[in-house]
Amino acid sequence: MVQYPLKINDKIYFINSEPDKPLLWVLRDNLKLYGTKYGCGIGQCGACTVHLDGMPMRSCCLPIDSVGDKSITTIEGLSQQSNHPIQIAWEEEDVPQCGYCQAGQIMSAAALLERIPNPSDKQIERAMKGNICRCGTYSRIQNAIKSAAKKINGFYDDE
Amino acid sequence: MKHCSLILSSLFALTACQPTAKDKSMAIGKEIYIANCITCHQPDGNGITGVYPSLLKSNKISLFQTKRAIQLITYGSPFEAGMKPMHLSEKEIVDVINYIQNTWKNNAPLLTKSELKELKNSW
Repeated sequence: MVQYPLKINDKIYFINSEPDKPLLWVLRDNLKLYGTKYGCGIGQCGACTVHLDGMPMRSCCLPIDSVGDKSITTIEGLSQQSNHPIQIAWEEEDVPQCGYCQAGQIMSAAALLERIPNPSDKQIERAMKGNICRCGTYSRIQNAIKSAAKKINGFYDDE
Repeated sequence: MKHCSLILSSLFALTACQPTAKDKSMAIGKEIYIANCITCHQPDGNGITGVYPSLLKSNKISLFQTKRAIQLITYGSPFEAGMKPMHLSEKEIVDVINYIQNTWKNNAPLLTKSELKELKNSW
């Protein structure tokens, strides 16, 4: 066991863990942050997506030892009162069906809007390709991202 | 004559500012990398020691390495715990390889879709 200081949602936690324990299980088992979901366990579905220094990462295949001093953001820390533009747009567009993949979808979408504030349809498709939704809510996800872009920028410009 | 050289230099300046095919492919490739590769191979391409391999190449990138990259992305690794196939189109594979092979300290010529098809046919 090794002690790791982890910066998660702007708080420092000291976690005793095996070095190869995936970040997902540290979040869920050690810290009871259940918003991040276990999907496939092999980085193929995107349900476990969190941000590491703003980049979307699959926490199921990220050993805790590799995190270092990077800042981790989970769905619980995306906004203070679930009021990130992407979360508001998600609710307005009524995106989720079963909801299981949605935390991962939202985290990938939020990271996309940080990098590209006004993404085109193609850019949205590309960025969200690693997040699978078994209910097939893709068109609503696309609409919600455009709607959030509009909230952030005051307009949406799809060339 | 003076006019002519002015027009020519303006044209040169204009074309020099245009993104090249490589720049365009790499910009798209970067987004594909972020969506599909970044967790294992990390933002700096270094991977995670002992778990996921580095993508940084100290020597000139060979055609064999490009071919291997295409195979890994298309079919995954033959090892059980190895890389899984990525569900990417041929164009997306080309773009992500162009990004990987021309970022950090890597340097390789532009890979085109027709070259990818040729490499696939040569397996």
